[in-house]
Amino acid sequence: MLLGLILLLVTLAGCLLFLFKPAWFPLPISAEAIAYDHQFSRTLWICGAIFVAAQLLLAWTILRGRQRVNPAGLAGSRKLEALWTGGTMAVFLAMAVLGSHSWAKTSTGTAGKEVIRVWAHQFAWNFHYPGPDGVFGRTDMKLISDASGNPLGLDPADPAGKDDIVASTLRIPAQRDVVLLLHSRDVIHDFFVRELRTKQDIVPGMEIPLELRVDTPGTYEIACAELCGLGHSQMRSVMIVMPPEEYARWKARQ
Amino acid sequence: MVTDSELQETHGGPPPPILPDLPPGGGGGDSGRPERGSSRSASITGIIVLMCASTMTFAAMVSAMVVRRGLNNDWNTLGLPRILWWNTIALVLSSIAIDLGRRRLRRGNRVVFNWFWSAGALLGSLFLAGQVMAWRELEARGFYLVGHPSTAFFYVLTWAHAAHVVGALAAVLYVEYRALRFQLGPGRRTLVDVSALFWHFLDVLWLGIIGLFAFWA
Amino acid sequence: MEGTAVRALFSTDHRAVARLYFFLSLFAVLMGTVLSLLMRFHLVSPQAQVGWFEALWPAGAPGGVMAPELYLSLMTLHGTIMVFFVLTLAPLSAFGNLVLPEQLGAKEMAFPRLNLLSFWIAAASFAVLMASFLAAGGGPLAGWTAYPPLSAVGAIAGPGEGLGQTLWFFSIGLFCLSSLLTSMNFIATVLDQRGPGMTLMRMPLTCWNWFITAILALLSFSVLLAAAALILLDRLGGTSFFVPAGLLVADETIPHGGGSPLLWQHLFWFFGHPEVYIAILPGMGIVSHLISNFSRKPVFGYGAMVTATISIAFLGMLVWGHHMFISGLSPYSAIAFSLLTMAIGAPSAVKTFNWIATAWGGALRLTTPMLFALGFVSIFVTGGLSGLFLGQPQIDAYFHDTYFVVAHFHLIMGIAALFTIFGGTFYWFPLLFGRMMDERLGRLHFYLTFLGAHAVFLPMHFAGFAGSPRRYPDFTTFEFLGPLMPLQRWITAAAFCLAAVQLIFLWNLFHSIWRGRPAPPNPWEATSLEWSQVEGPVLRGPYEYLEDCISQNQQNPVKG
Repeated sequence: MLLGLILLLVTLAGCLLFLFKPAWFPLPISAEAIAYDHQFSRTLWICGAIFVAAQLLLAWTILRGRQRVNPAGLAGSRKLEALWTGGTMAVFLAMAVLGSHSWAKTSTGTAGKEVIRVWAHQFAWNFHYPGPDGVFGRTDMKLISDASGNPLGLDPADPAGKDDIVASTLRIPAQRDVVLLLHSRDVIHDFFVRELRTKQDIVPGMEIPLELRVDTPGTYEIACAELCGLGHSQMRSVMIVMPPEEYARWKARQ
Repeated sequence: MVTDSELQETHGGPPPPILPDLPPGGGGGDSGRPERGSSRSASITGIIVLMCASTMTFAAMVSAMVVRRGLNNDWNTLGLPRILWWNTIALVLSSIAIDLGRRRLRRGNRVVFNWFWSAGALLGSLFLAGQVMAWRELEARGFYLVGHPSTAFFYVLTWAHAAHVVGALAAVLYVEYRALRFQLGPGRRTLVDVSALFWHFLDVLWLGIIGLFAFWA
Repeated sequence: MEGTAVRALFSTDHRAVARLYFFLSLFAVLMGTVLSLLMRFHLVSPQAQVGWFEALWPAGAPGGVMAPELYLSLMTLHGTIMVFFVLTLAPLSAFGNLVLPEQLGAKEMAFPRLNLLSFWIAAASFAVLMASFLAAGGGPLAGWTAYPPLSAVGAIAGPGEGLGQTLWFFSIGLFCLSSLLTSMNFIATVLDQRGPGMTLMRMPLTCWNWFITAILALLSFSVLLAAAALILLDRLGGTSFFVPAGLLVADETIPHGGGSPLLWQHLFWFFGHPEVYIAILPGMGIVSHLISNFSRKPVFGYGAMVTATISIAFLGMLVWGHHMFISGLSPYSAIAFSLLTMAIGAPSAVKTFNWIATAWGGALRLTTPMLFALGFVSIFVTGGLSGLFLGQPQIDAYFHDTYFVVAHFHLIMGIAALFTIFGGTFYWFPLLFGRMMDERLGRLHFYLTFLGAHAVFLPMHFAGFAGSPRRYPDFTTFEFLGPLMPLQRWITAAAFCLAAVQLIFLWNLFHSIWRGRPAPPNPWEATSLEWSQVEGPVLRGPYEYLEDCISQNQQNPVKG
C-alpha cells in the first residue's frame, strides 16, 4: 500500500523536476544545437509519457492488489505479448530514426572553410592556424618543446610555417563553416563545448574532423571530456566566436 | 596386436580387473568416488563450453589482427620457419593416435590403448619442443615480439595456443599415469574422452592459426 | 573450531561456496560504498584537510588534502569493485550457487571442486586489486574502462599508471578466469544435472536467467581475457597493440608504434556491454520469481519471459558500439548500433509489462523481498528510459561522459541490481543461515533506500543536462560548474543519508545471522524445489500456486 503511494509521489516529483529542464541547459549557439534541443524535448516527452504510464500502472497494481488467491490466474496471453512487443519496438525504433536525421552527415571536405588544427595534450590545448598562405607548416613530434614556446613542434625550416598562428585559445568566425582537425599528442582527450551540444574524442594517431557553424558570437568554455590523467579537470580553454570582420582583423594582427 | 591375455603371458601375473561401469545419472560421476567428480555428460558439456570460451579468446585476438592489418599498409608477411610444418604433422598424428587409442579403450583393449595414448603424448611433446625451436629460429632471424605487430600477433597466438597445449598435455599425461596402472576401462573413460576431445580441438585450432599465417598474414 | 573454519573456507558444498561469495561481495560492496562517499565528500569540499586521509595515503593526500590522482584512483577502484565483485559475483555466483542446483533438482553443481577453485581465483583477483590500490606510485586511475594509451604506456603517463595499473590488469585477468570457470559450471549444471521431470520449460525463471547469463559471461569474459593479455604485453612486453606511433607523453617519446587505441575500446566494450546484462539478468530472474511467489499467481507469459531474456542477451552482444558514438567511428556504424540499442528496449519493456501483469490482480503479500522486487520494476523503468536518450548518437554526443550517464547506469545497473540482491538476500536468507531476517527493519530499510536512491540519482540527471563532465576530481576550474555546486552538495548529502540507511540492513543481517527467528522449512510458501520437503520427480511448472502451497515435485493432495 505504502509503496503504491510512494510510487505516486516519486512519479509526481520526477515530473515536476524534469519540467525545469530548460533551466539546466546552456544556450544553443548553432543550428545543430537547436535541432539537438528539439530532439531532446521530443525524446523527453515520449519517455516522460512512458515513465508516468508505467509507474502509475505499477502503483495501481499495488494499490488494488490484496485480492484472494486466484490459482487459475492468467498465465499469459499471446495477443498482449505481441501487442506490447510490437508497440514498444515501433516507438523506440521511430525515435532512433528521428534522432539519426541530424546525425548522419557526411563530411563535406574542407574546401572554402576555415580549417584549424586542434592539438590536445596532458593537460592543455593548442590551436594551429595556417596563416594567410592557407598552408599548415610541417610539424614534428621531435621538435616539440613547451618550454621554448613551440608546443606543436613547428619546423622552423619550413617556409609554409612562417606565417602560422599558434594560440592557446580557439577563435573562430561566426556564421562561417569551420572545420576543426582534432589531434592528440599523448592520450585520448575529448573536445567538448556545451553550447555546441556535441563532443568528439581526440584519439592519438588519428585526425578526426569536427565541422561547426556557430551563429552566436561569445566566449564558450572548452572542456576535456575523456579521462586523460590527473589534470583532466583542469584541461580548460575557451572558444571565442567573433563576428567575421572582427575575426579577420584579429588574424591580420598576428 | 597385443591383447590382455598375451600381456599376461609376457609379463606374468594378470592385469588388474576391468572395473565395472558406473550407473549413469547426475552427481555420481565415474571417478570411482561417488561423492566427487561429475557425471559423464556434464564433463563433456563442460569441455565443449570451455572450447567455446577458448574459441572466443582466439577469435578476439584474430579479429584484433584483422583490424590492425586493415589500419595501415605496413603489414609484413612473416616467412614461417619450416619446422612449423613438421610440428603440424606431429600434432595431427598425435591427434590420430589419441583417437585410435580412445576407440580401443571403448572396446576394452587397454594394452593397445596404452600404446596409442603414449604415442600421442610423445608426439604432443614433440610439437611443443618444435614450437620452441620455431620461436628460436624467428628470433635468430630478428623477428622479436617487440617490433612489428604482424610478428607480435604471431607470437601471441602461438603462445596462447602453446599454453593451451601445455594444459591439455598435463591432462593427457594424467590419463597416461592412470592408464599405465590399468585404472581406466570401457566404463571409466570419461577422462579419456574429454582429454581427447580437447586435444582434437587444439589440433583444429592450430590448423586454423597456421593456415592464417601461411595464407593470409 | 579450526576444523570448522577450514571446512567453511574449503568446502565444495554449493551452499558453502555461495556463502563465501556472499561475504566477499558484502565486503566489496561496503568498500565500494565507502570509496564513493570519499569521492562525494571530495567533490563538494576539495580543499578540506582530513588528518586520516594523510595517514592512509601519505602520497595521495599530502597535508590531508586529497590529490586529484587519489580521487581518480578511488573512482577507478569504486567502479571495478562494484561492477566485478558486487554486481557480477553477488547475483550470479552467490545466489546462483546457493539455489541453482536445488531448484533444478540436482544435488550439487556439475563440478564442485572447480566451483571452489573459481571462488578462490576470484578472491585472489580481489586481493590483487587491493594490492594495485596500495601499489608504489599510486593506485590505477584510468577508470574501470582503462582506455589506452593512458593505461598502456606505463608510469610516464602519470601517477598510478605504473605498477598499480599493471596489477589492475592482472586482477581483471584473474577475474576473467574465475568467471569462465563459473559459467562453464553453471551451463553444465543446467544442461546435465537437472533432476527427473525437470524439463527446461519447467525451470524457474531464476534458473533460465542464470543459464543465459552464464552463456553471456562465457562469451564476453573470454574476449576481455584476450584484451587484458594483449594490453599486459603492451605494458610489459613492449608490443604495440593499442599504442599508436609517435606519441609524446610528458615530453618523452614513446618508442612503440603502430597500434590502435580504438581496438581496445572494441574489445573492451564487446565485453563491457554484455557485462551490464550479466549484472542485471540474474536479478530479473529473481524479480520474476519473487513477484510471482508473492502475488500467488503464475508468471505472466513464462515463454515470453524466456524469449525476452534470450533476445536481450543476443542483442546485448551486438551493441557494444553505442559506448563509442563519439570515439571516432564512422557515423553510419553509429546508426546501426543505435537501432540495435533501441531494439533492446522492446524485450526489456516486455519484461516490465509481464512483471506488472503478473502482479495485476494478485493476492499481493508485500513482504520485504516483494517490496524490493516491485521497487526494482520501478527503478528499472526510470533508469531504462534514460537509456533511450543515450541510445541516440546525437543525444549521446552531448550526454556522453557527463553525469547524465552516471545517473543512468547507477540507476539501471547499480541500484536496480542492488535491489534484486537485497530481495534475494531477504528471500534466501533462511537457506544461507537457517534463520529469518527481521521484516519490520527490512521494510524500513526498503522504503528509505527507495527514497534515498531517487534523492541521489534523479537530481544527478540535471548535472548531466548542464553538461557537467564525469571523472572530474574537482569542479573548480570551469566557470559553468560553479553554479552547479548546490546541486552537487545536495547529491553528496543524499548519498551520505543513503549510505547511513544501509546500516539498518547491516544490523539486520548480522543480528539475524545469530539472533534471527529460526526459519520454518518453507517460510515464503514457495513451490520451487529449494524449499521442497519431499523427494521425487518434478510434476509441474514452478509457478502453479494452489490453495495449499505444494512443491513442484509434490502430489496434489486435492486432486489425489
